[in-house]
Parts: sequence; structure tokens; C-alpha cells
Amino acid sequence: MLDADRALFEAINGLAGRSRALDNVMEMLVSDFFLPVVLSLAAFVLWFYGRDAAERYRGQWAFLYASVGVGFSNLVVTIFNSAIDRPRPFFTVEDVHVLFYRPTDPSFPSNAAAFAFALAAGVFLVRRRWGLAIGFGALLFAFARVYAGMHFPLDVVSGALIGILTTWFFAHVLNQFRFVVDWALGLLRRFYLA
Amino acid sequence: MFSLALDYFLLVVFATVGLLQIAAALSGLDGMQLLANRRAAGVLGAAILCGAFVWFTLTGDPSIPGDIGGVEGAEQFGLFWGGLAAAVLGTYALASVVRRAGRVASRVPPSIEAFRSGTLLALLRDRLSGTSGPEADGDA
Repeated sequence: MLDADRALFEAINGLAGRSRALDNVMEMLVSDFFLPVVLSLAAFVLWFYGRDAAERYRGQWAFLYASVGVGFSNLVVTIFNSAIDRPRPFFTVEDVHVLFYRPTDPSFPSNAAAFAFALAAGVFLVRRRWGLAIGFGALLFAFARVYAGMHFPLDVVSGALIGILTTWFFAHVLNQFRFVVDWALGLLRRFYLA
Repeated sequence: MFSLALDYFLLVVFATVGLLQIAAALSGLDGMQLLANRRAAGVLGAAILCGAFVWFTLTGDPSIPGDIGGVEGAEQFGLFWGGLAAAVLGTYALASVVRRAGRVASRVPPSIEAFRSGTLLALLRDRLSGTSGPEADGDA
């Protein structure tokens, strides 16, 4: 399986360096400061957007699911990272095209993929189309991480699964405390923040 | 332009302000708009949003490791939430000043939904004094 993972990595990363234009696009997509901000803001805007109070309330729940999912996914990834120290591709594979700075933390699983897919899953639970749009952005982000030599494909696939499953689980946990969340939202409303 | 952390913070602040303008225009939250006209507010928001990303992309190199001048994950998290808070409060305040507060169109319970009726300053003034607004004016 690891051999297949490595072969797939070499196929995808091998695309880099052929087209300067595509590399420039991927350099932008792989950045920690572009798609993560775009996707986070796409989820955040649901807090305010809505034709009426009911639609806005649903959007606020979507953002809450996404936030809780991102937080706990990060925790799960940290636990995996401390248990499995898989080196980044550019440490173990020759002639890797690296389009971003070289992180030194473990490669498996991908925190970037976990973050993006947790965000998409949280929103998808309430707003299907919005969640799919963020999911498309998450796919681009995950692909770009492999293209740019940051991760092996298995890292991003496992990161995505962690993000989705963790969000799904903690969304159900959050539902058990709906009365607390509704109380908190009511408090925020008094200050025009919800 | 500045340090990467400050650039990132400013990116989040301005991108969020722009996005809030678009959301306000599409949702009819007139009291959050910086311009009275909805279409104009939406266009202004799109310009601020795109401008923030273009400025960030053109002025700095984000490919810097966290330990040598870049932004670590935890710092990025803090800057993002700080930027959101600054943008929301800044939008509320700026809309109140630019739109000259005015009077609330109708008295509604406090929430984001209330921005359909007026700016934050107008809503607070109405809520605290209880002397303005249609109900107090006797035309509700």
C-alpha cells in the first residue's frame, strides 16, 4: 500500500515543473493563507447570511458544527502525528518538486486536509450545496498539497477521513447539548452578534 | 508589506469586512451596510474582498516556515479569530458612523435580524432610551 502511495505521489508531483502557469496556481492553492482563509470565510459568512432569522439560525449551526469539527480534527491529527512519525515526501523521495516551504512536522495524516474537510463536513450537515462548494475547495487544497510535495496521497486521504468522521461525531455530540448552544446564541443575540 | 503575521491579520480583517458587506446586501441587513444602496454595498464588499486577497498575494511571500518569521498554526488561529472579531465590530461601528445612525425603522428584539431596521448605534439608542422608534412615536 505504501508503495502504491509513493507511486501515486510521484505521478502527481511529477506534474509540477512542466507548466510555470500551473505551478503558480498550485503555489497559491497550497498556501496556508489562501484556501484556508477562503474556505473559513465561506463558512463564517453563514453566521450573517440569511433571508430570514430561521435561515440565519441554520447557518449559525453550520458554522458551529464546522468550528467544533475543525477543533477536534486538529486534536485527532495531533495524536496521530505524535504516534506515527512519517517523514515528509521531500525527505524520503528523490527529485521531489517542492513548491512551498518545507514543514518539519510529520506527514501522516495531513492536518491541512483534515481542517478543510472538517469545515466542509460541518457546513454540509446543514447546508448541502454550501458544504459541497467548500468540499470542492477542500479537494483542490488536498490535491495541491500532494502536487506541491507537502504530502503523500495517503496522508491527505486519511486527513480528509479524520476531518469528516470527527466532525460528524462531534456534531452529534453538540446536538446533545443543543439547549446550551441555544442559550449561548440567545446571549449573543442580546449583543447583536447572533 | 509588514510582517507576515500583520499582513495575514489585515487580510482577514479586510476580507471579512468585504464579505459582511456582501452578506448584508444579500440579506437585507441595511444597518450593517456602509452604503445605503444594496447593490452599491455589495459591489463595495466584493471590491474590498478581492482587493484584500490581491494585496496580500502581491505584497508578500507566504512561503515562510513558522519558526523563521512565518506564522505558526496556533498564531494563525488566534490572528484569524481576532481578525473576524475586529471586522465584525469594525463593520458595526463604521456603519453606525457612516450611515449617521438614524432612527430604527421598527422596534425588533435584539439580534442580527434587527439590522434590517437600523445601525447598531440607532438600535442601542432606541433600546436604551426607549424614546425613539415608531412605538414611542405612536405610529406603530
